[in-house]
Amino acid sequence: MDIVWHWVRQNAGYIVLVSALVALIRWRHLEPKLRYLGLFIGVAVLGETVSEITAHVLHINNLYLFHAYTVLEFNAIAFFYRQLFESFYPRWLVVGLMVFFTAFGLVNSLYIQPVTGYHTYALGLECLLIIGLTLMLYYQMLAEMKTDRLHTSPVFWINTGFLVYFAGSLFVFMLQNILLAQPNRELGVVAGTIHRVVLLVLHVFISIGLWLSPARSQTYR
Amino acid sequence: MAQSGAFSDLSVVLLGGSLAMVLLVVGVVGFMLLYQKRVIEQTMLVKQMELNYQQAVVHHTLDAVEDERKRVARDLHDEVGAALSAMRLLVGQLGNTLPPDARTHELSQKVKGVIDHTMDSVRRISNDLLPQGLDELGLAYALEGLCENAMSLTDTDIRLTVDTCANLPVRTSLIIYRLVQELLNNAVKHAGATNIELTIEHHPASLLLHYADNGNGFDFTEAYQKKSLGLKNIETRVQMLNGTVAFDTQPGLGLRVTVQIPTVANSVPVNP
Repeated sequence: MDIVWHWVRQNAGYIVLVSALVALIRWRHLEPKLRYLGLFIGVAVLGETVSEITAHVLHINNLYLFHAYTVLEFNAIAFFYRQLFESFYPRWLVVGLMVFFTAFGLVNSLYIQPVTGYHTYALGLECLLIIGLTLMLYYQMLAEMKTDRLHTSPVFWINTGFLVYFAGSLFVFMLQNILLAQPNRELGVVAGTIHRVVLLVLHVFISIGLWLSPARSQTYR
Repeated sequence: MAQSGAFSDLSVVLLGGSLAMVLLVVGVVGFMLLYQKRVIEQTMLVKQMELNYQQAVVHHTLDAVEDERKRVARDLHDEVGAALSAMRLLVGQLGNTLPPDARTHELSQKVKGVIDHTMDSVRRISNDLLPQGLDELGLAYALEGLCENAMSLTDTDIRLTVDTCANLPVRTSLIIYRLVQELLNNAVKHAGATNIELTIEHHPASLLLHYADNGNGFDFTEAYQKKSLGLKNIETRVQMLNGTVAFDTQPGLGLRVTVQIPTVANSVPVNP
């Protein structure tokens, strides 16, 4: 079993290639709103690539890049949700969140938490905000009832993927926060494994969602 | 002491995190169930709306048919009937003005006979088209007339028992009248029945109609598969009143029909 977890920790990052590949194969069939998810997938692929190169090839501290990546990732996801929300919620809401989070990320990295360390505040806030966005989308789906079969709805899969990933990540960040004060190698490994597993779940769910998107469809089909 | 505090924090995070994950799974499953429940509710609502629409279409069609029947019956009675009466009077006057002649007298009597026969036919057709006294005197009176009419035309013996049918909406009474008319027509024209029993019981929440004849009977499955118009008419009329109908018949063993019509919260609107 340890071998499996070790393999997951080492290779889970490559899962972004699967969702990227599915997005490329299905691109012509994706409804316009789902194409905005390509921005997040692109950022994820870029993030994993840069992380691999800096950590395993150049052997340099890449945490300052993680600060920038978090802001980029949040904006890409929030932009995707803005397209899904249409006019169900006030249009300024997501834009306001994007501006607020970008400003917070900058202030946090410049003045509160050093760029060479973990930006736990920004990471925690990002998780909370995206969990909020996923719950808002669930509510919108319940109110609009645009599809009869939920398990064939791409947005349901993608939204659930984001919820699982960011809820799991929030738990991991809280655990890591405690481990900073009380280092425990084994628990650190467990936390890292949990993070990789939820990353796997996110990209598998995104891949399923993109695969389900038909050529012509309504908002949630 | 610090180690103990960190351990406590760790326990809280692990416990809280596990609990949050469980809640997350429960939340997603709950969302799916709630969504599916709403989908089912919405589907049921749409089906109910479709059903209501179909019922409204059938009601309007039936109303139109009844209106047309009334118009034709009144035209027959007022215009054709009046014209025939005038014609009979004229024939009588013609007989008086012509010189007395056996041939003329015979012809005049023959013409009067034909006119009388035509007037009877017009009256019968008019009565068939427009239930006599249904609006004014109620269902029981109209059914009595219908049964008497059937008995006068054939050798059939009809025993009719009707509980009080007060406060039935006009449309409900009319539908029941047409239903009985259909049953009697079938019994007399096709089944060769000589004995018919018809009972209408008015219970607090429903109206029960029992019909039984000693006619030829028929193979119900075969007749239903052939989409017998009579059976279909009876079923459609009962469905319009949100009621149920049960047929019990076999070749050579007569026909028994039980109709149950709810009278409480009857969705059939009263004619304006």
